[in-house]
Amino acid sequence: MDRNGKLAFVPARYGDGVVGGAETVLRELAAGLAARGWDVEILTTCARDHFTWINELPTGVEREGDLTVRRWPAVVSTARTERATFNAAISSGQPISWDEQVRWMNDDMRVPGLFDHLVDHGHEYRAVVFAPYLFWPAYACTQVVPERSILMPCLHDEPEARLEIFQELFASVGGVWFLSEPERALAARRFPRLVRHEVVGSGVPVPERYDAAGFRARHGIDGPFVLYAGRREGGKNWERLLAGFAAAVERDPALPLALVTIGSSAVHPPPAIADRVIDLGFLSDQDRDDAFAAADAYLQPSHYESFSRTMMEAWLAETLVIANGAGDVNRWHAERSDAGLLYDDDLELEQCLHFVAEAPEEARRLARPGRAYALEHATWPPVLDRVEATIEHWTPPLGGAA
Amino acid sequence: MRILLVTEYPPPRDGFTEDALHIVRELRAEGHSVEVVSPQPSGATQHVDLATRRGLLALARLARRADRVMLRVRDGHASPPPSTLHALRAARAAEVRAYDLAPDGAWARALDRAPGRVRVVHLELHPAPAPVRAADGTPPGDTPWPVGADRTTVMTEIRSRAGRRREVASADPISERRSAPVRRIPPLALPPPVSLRPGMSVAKRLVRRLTAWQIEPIVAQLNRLREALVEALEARPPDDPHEG
Repeated sequence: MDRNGKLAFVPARYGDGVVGGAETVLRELAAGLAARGWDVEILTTCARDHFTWINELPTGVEREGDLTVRRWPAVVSTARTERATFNAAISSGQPISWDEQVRWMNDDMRVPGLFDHLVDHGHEYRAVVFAPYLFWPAYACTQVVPERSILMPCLHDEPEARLEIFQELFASVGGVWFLSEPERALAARRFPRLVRHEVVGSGVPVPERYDAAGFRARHGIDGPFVLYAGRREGGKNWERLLAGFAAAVERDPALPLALVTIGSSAVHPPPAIADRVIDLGFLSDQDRDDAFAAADAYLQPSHYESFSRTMMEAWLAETLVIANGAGDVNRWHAERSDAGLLYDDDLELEQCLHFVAEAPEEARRLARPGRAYALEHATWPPVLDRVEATIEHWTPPLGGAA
Repeated sequence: MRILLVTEYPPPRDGFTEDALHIVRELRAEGHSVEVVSPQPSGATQHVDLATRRGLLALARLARRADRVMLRVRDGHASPPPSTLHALRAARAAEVRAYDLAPDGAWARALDRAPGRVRVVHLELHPAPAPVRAADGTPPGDTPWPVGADRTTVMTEIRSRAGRRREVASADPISERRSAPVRRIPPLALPPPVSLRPGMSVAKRLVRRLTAWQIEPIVAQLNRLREALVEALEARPPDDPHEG
């Protein structure tokens, strides 16, 4: 393997406290390649929050382990009212013109410093990896070094994926990495001119140990509970999960389950279940792993998933996954692993919760094949092998046309 | 005896209105003629807006025609207001059945001053009995969860139980597969009027309140359409291969 040449990874946000699947995958991927001997840089913003884009971290260059991290300010120069208007149209399926789509993209966070850096130095990188596809850095900066750009889109079947401007993005980059087969299939449907691509998959770190009892003791949690980890946002179906959980509790107040949640954003539980929803906020990696082991089941309400790391983390801890059947990726994992339950509506979610509450031993037994599945399909070494093979195959040697 | 019963009446379906139904059935079983008046539109033959003077006069006219008037009250905005007592003066015999009143509530204070000819009975409304569970925690109507079953069997049981609660005529796997794409689209709900931006939560709540009269009926209608579509898909007989 020829590991000459710098690699750049371009997430819109990067660093401790950043919650997001794409950002986490990119971070672990970059660290894994650096550990294999690649010279890896992170090109990103100073922001942590993808709503406010407040620049919380210092501009400039720093060394983080094997990685060089370069940060530029995220620039939000408008009140984003035009974007809000277009967002409403996009989410309701109303067509907007190509010109309006570009205005929608530009009326948000931009990173002119990063753009400039790639204009001046893009040719110095062997590959520049962008994720996810929806943010300005991926859309704007792939235009600077298209043949060296690799897109890791983290694509979901969201309304924005139907915008015409993304057709050119998926048709112009040097290659595309997908995290799962359903994501690839979706891209093939949405983007007829999709360039060369590979399902490289994704990995999650395998914890060496779990301390479920310690987690319960540290957080004062006694009874059975189901867990949700991640961004507590509408895009992840968090409100819908709260509504379904509340409906289940309303129909059977004796349902002996609490809903423990970890991650970012405010929780806003309905008053009727406020005493059952326990928000632990952002936890350390060890505490998060212990939460997965302590839970009676993990809930995956989101149907906008391109891989779903948290399902893997639950299965590694031998915890049952209850996932929204509307997500192709959720179905794909649950059916292949034979270790996940799927629900199509609130009543089925309710019965899944009853199963966990009334037959906890059966739930544990059903979850057991999940660990073998996660170990086979979601560990980093085979993913890094596939990633390196595509870099070697796709990227032009340095010194060629740039 | 002609009895005029003034009460909240189904729908809605709750313990209080269920009890009203029970009273009507009992009195009619005893041979009485019972006419029900409710303060809001309901299943009662008449509804009278007891918050208005005109409504109270109408109730007084009805009370005069009855041999006995029974007024059922509880704390809460849907209950007849305390001013209803004025209309009972026209009745030959009147009884107020008061349920679970707060001691310092408007009704408790009004009944303290009620005319002596109005009989007041304080009652406790027994809450609906909690669902009885089997020793293993299984709710009534369900058999225990299968032991040692594979994922497919557990999923089938989950879908079957959910289907029974949807009250579909045929909770069979084929009809459930047919309706699944529709059921995966969650019922339409307005997003919570909250925001991380300072002051925006208040603004969103205000907008929600101002537009509720337009938006909420649309949301409700769309959700009824979704339910009707699920019902239609689940009730549809299997396709006839000889048809069309």
